[in-house]
Amino acid sequence: MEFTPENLIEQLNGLKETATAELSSTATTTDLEAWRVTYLGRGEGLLPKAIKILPLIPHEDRKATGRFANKVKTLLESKYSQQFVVIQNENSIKNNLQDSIDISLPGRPIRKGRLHPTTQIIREVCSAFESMGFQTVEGPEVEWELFNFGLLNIPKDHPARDMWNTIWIDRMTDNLDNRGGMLLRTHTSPMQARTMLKVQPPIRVVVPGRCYRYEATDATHEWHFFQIEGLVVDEGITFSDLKGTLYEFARQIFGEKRKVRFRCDYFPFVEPGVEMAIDCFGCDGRGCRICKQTGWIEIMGAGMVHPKVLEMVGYDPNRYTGFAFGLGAERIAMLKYGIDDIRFFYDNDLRFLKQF
Amino acid sequence: MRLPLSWIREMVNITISPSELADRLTMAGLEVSAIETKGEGWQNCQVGCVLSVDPHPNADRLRLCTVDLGDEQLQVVCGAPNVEAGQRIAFAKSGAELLNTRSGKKEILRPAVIRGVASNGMICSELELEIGDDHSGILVLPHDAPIGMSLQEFLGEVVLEVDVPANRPDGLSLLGLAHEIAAICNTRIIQPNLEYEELGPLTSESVSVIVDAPESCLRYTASLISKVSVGPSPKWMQNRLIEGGMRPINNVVDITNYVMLEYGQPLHAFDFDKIEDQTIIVRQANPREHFVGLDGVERTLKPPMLVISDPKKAIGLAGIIGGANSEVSPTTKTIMLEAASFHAFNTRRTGTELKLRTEASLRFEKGERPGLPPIGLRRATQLIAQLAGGTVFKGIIDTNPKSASNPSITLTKKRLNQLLGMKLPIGLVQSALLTLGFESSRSGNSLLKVEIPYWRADISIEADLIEEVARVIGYDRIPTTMISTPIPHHNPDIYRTIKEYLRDCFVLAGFQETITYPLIGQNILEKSRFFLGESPEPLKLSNPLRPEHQYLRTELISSILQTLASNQRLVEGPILLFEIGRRYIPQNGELPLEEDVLSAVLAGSRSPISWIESNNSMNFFDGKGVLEAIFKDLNLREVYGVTRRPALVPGKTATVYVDHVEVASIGEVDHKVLKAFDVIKQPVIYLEIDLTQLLSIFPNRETQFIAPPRFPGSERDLALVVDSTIEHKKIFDLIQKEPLVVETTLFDVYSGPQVAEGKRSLGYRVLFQSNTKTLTSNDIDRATDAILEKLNKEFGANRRY
Repeated sequence: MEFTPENLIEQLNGLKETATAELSSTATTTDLEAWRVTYLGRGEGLLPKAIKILPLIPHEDRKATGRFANKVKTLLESKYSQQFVVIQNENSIKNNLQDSIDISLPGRPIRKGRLHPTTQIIREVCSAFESMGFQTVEGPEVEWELFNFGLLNIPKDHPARDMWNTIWIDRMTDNLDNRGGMLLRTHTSPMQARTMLKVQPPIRVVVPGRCYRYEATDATHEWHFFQIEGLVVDEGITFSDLKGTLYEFARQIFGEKRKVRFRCDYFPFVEPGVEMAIDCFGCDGRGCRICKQTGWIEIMGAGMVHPKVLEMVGYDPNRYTGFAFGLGAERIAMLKYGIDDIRFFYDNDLRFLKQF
Repeated sequence: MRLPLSWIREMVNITISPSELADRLTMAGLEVSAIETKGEGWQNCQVGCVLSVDPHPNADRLRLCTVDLGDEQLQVVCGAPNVEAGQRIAFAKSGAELLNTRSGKKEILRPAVIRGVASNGMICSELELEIGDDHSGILVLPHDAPIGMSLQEFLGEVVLEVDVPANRPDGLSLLGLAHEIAAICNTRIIQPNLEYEELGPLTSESVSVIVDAPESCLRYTASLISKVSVGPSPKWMQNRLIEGGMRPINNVVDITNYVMLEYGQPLHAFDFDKIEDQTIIVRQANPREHFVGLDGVERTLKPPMLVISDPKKAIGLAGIIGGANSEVSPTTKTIMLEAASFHAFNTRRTGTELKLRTEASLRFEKGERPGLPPIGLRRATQLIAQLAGGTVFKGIIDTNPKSASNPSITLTKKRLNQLLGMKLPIGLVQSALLTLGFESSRSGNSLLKVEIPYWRADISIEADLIEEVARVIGYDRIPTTMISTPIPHHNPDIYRTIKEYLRDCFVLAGFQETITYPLIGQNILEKSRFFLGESPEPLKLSNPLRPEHQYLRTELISSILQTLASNQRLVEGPILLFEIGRRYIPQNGELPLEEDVLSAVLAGSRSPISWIESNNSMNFFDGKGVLEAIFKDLNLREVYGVTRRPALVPGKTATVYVDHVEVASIGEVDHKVLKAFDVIKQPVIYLEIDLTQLLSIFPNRETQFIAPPRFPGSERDLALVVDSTIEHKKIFDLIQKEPLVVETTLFDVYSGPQVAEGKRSLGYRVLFQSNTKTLTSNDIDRATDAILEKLNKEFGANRRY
């Protein structure tokens, strides 16, 4: 293509149109380079060629034509850079796609175990009480009769002993001192006496731990289970504090909408004695299979510490009052997770344990 | 305790429905575990009167009856042989749901045409109403049964099953429960009749009672009745006994049982003519004394069991069962009634030793008050005079009349407030107690002197009375408050913190927590002894539930291997288990040491079967990695020492020390041990952390801040060839000793064709760093040379390239 001095602006304009159109159809770096050589190439490129004949243009038009030629040059160069980036990007995407992975393949497995559901419940319950200023402590599972019964106001030959069928330790030399026989604790309550004998009020403790009963096993009874005991002793502790504390516990564990019910019950180491129930979450209190149609689910025994219990550990029952409570960890877990058979807990079937 | 409402309605006016009553009793501490309703399908049944009985026109065996129901008269076809005009009968109109005696199922009665005659209902038999087994004819009601009354009202029954707490003997009596109901319905009870005529000679001159064991027999009362006619008791009494859960026998025995249900006082009737010398001796049993009870069983007694005896022989086992030798029979003419107060604990111990519990002993065990016997005695005497005829002797025997006085307890408003956290007007407290039968006198506005009624054995201190008040006003009316006293100071419990921390560590490392029974059987004990060698003699249970739960474990490896064995077939891929449990080390004459131990196993492939992960089995180093991570996180420097441990493979076992204290061990489990525990997955790595030991090194530890280095460090790799017998740890320690070395990491272990036989190549990346300047490569070269020289001198190690 040859340029003439006449109408150079129109020719440049035509060049611009053709070049722009051609540029947009370049798809590879090779195309783009060919385009650049054709239009912008030093010496042989069309635009430099056109610029070369500028001196042949009459003086009065030369300046305007030269300005126009520069404008076309700037435009084509900028378009070239843009197209260069576009082609680069497309190339890089094409290249990447060649190394693409099957994102539907499974990921690298991470091993993660779980806590036993009993541990989880114990933690939840204890931390609910810790939030109210309790400390978690533990005690021995093998106990003296004195601590398991005597110091809890359950004398030998009292019919209340029927409430705790006991597994006894066989002792070759049974020195019958006042500690009595050795046994597997039937409840965590011995820690009430142990705690009070160790420290002076104020006391606020929760005691999780294993307990054992001489009892046949069925869907709701285990001979081996975990209890969580609580004890508060100080001046000025009242039955209304018992209600408030246990109510707050129930809200933390079962949700703030739960209603609670306190009814009278008998445990020899408390007076008055209490059984606490929450309204059934299966039916909201209307009556269903979970609550045995009563609308209520009993979750723990409690009461004001019996004055005799305080006396036996050397506290002045006229000065100090307190309350105690005890609940079964498995029962809470069963209610929370809908487990219908307590025997799953210590069967240690991983298919059960992995669910919690 | 079975509580038939029709019976108790005689003693107290119940103003609420049975289900509400059950709720209220439960709230008051007498839990109603069941409500039994008799006559549930009886909506359309009424008391009727048979007006006429005519032959059925088309059937010889059937009759055509007209029945009056008060407001209407209906014609019905009846096949019963005993139907007669004038009878009061139970009539079922169509719609009633009764037992079809042919199908054995409940069916709704519909109008029928029987052999061409319309029959508008049915005259019922006992069986159809499900109140008895008799279907030989219709049930004939008493002649005063009100015509038209609903059968439910006339014959139906609601029985509440009450779970009575161990301290409430009064809960085992209708009157005791009547007092509870009176408090619920805010009313007073109606006492049974205790009046009778005494026309016989003086009781005290006809029988003598000697109490030889006053510590076990607090009070003995007796009455005599002559010329009684022993026979069946009236139907109403039999029915009540059956509803109350007892079997009718004869009028005399039935009355003693009736009064026991009514008052809670066990009674016994002796055939007085079989008592030698008209003398009763209450004494301890002789050693090996033989005694045959009313149940026909011969038992061997021993002191301090208590017997009722005459001068020659025991005639009763006090508070438990009467003797066969003095039993009331149809020919009995004179009876002696006994109502006594026997010591609760002694009765219970005797019952436990003889494995014999009766309705009587159940009540004595709970500690009946000595005020009760003469009242029960009078009631039974009155009923015998009324129902079995006879002449009652004058007066009763009472060995301890003084014991009848009722104790009283002072109740202060202050204490009430201190315990309940609510202020109650003293007048309200007084009337609340009165509804339960507690009389009291008031002094001022703050104090009550409360008399404890004779039937309440559970009230001995002020707090007991406060519970009574709280029960009557209702626990729901007591305020709900938060503890207002300051929170006690608690020292941080490092032990629990570490224990719970370890649980989290193992869970994060992929281990599943398990909890196993700490009791083992002979079988496991023998296995563990065989493999673990001499272990302490474990504590043994004297009454194990099962043979496999006979001993308290002294080690944890058996427990976790059993769990592994039971799961290995169920679970694919790796099995990582841990447990924090106790071992129980016996101590002479003391409670055992209960030591928390963390035990863990690793078995199977390193990861679940996966396209991306190799399926290599886990080995020693998988376990060791867990331990290292934990100790590092706890800021403890642990040392691994070659060791031998029972059950673990020698050469693949290490003991872990911190500050020379043995805190953990780890190793591969011996295949013989695995086989003994039926573990098929191999290898199995076992590790154990002794929490007691771990804690012992803790108290002095606080995290100390160390400033990050200010000058850059520089790394060098050292590849060394050294005899295979030289432990990595020795080389590592030597490198670490060089002053400029801050970190040494083993990154390669190689033995094979590239190195000489008996040698291995170890690759270390060593980080050099100084606190005072940036190290030059000259500095590092010098340090490296120094290390290499020492390594060569000490271990003959050479640089590989």
